[in-house]
Amino acid sequence: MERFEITQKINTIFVDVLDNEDIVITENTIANDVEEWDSLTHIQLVVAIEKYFKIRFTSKEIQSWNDVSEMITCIQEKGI
Amino acid sequence: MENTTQPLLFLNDILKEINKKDKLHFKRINSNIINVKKNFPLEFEELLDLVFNYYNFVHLSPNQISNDYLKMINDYRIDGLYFYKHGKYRCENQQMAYKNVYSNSEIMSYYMNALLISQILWKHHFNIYMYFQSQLKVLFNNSEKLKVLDVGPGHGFFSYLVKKNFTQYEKMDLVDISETSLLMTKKIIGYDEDKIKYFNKDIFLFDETNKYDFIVLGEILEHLDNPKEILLKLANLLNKDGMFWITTPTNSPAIDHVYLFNNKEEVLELVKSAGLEIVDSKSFIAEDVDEETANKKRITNLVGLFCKKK
Repeated sequence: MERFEITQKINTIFVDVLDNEDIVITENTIANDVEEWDSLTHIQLVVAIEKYFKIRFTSKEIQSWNDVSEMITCIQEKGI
Repeated sequence: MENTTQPLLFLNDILKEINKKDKLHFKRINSNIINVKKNFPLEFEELLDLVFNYYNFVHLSPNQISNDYLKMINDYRIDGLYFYKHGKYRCENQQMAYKNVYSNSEIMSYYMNALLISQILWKHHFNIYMYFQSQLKVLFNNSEKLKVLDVGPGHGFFSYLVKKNFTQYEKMDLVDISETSLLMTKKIIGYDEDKIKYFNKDIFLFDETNKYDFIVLGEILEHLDNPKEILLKLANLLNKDGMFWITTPTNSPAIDHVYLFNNKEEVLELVKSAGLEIVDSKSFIAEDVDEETANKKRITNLVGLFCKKK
C-alpha cells in the first residue's frame, strides 16, 4: 500500500479513537501536533491500527514511535 | 521566576530524563503536573517533599528514577495492549502476580520506586488525595482520638494525611505483606513514640482484637482474586460507627492487577454486598473525558469512597 493511502487510513483511525473530527494527519505529523495523542491514547491507537490492518507490532516497535512517518514505515514493514 | 526548591529541581531533572527517553509519555505527565500545580500548589510541594526525602534516603538519582518509572510505563503498555485487545487483565490471578511480580526482587524494586513518583505525576492519583483530605475534615472532628488501620499502605500517603490532620489520633497500625513496601511506608510516615506500629504480615493473619475507628484500604481490591473477602474481614475490625476509606481503579491494566472493575457502579455494588453503606464517593478519570466516555473507551477511573457498616 502507498504511504499516502496508509496515511488516509490512519487519519480515520485517529479521528475515531481520539474522538476529534478536526484531526488531520499527514506523514509529517508528530505527536506534539495532536493534543490528544499521548502515551495512553497511543496504546488505543496501536490496537485500532493492528485490528484494521490485521497486523501485530512488538512492544519495542510501538515504544519508539513519536510521529506518523515512523508509524507508516512500521506498517509497511509488515507487508502492507 | 519559578520556585526552585531542591525537591522541585530534583523533579525537573526527573522530567527532563523522561522527556529525553519517552517523549509521548512526557507529554502526558507534563500536562498533568501543570494541572495539579495550578490547582493545589501547596499540597503538591508537600507531597513532593515526601517523595524527594524518600529518594534521597535510598540514594536514587533522577536518571535512575526515570529509568525505573519508564520500565513501569513499558509494562503498562504491554498490559494495556492485551487489555484493549482481549477486554481482560493479562494477570489472571494472585498466584500469577506473586510468581511474576511480588517474588521477583528486581521487578519489585523498580515497580515500587516508579509507583511512588506516579503518585504526584498522575493527576487522578493526586486529585484523590485532595478529595480524601477535604472529606476527612467534613466527616470527622479533627480532635477525635482515632484508632487507625492502614492495610497495604505502600507509600502511605493516606495515613500521612490522617496523621497530619488528626494530631490527636490514638494509634495507627500499618499492615503490609511486603517488607520492601513497608520499608517505604516507614520512611514516609515515620514514627510517633509508640502510637505508630508497623506489621509485616498478611492481613488475613492479622489478629488484632481491638476495633478501629478508621480503616484505609488504598488500591488493594484490584490485586485480589476475591476482593469481597477482605472487605468482610476488615468490616469485622471496624467499630460500630467506624469509617472505611477504599480506593480502587476501574479498567486499569497493570502487571499485578487481577480483579477487573468495568465501571464505578461495580465497585459500589461490591462494597454494598459486603454489608457496607456508602457515605460519600467520588471518582477521578485518568484523562479529560466524562464518565460515559471513560466507560465506553475503558479509560481508568480511580474510585474513592467512604463507607460504614449498615
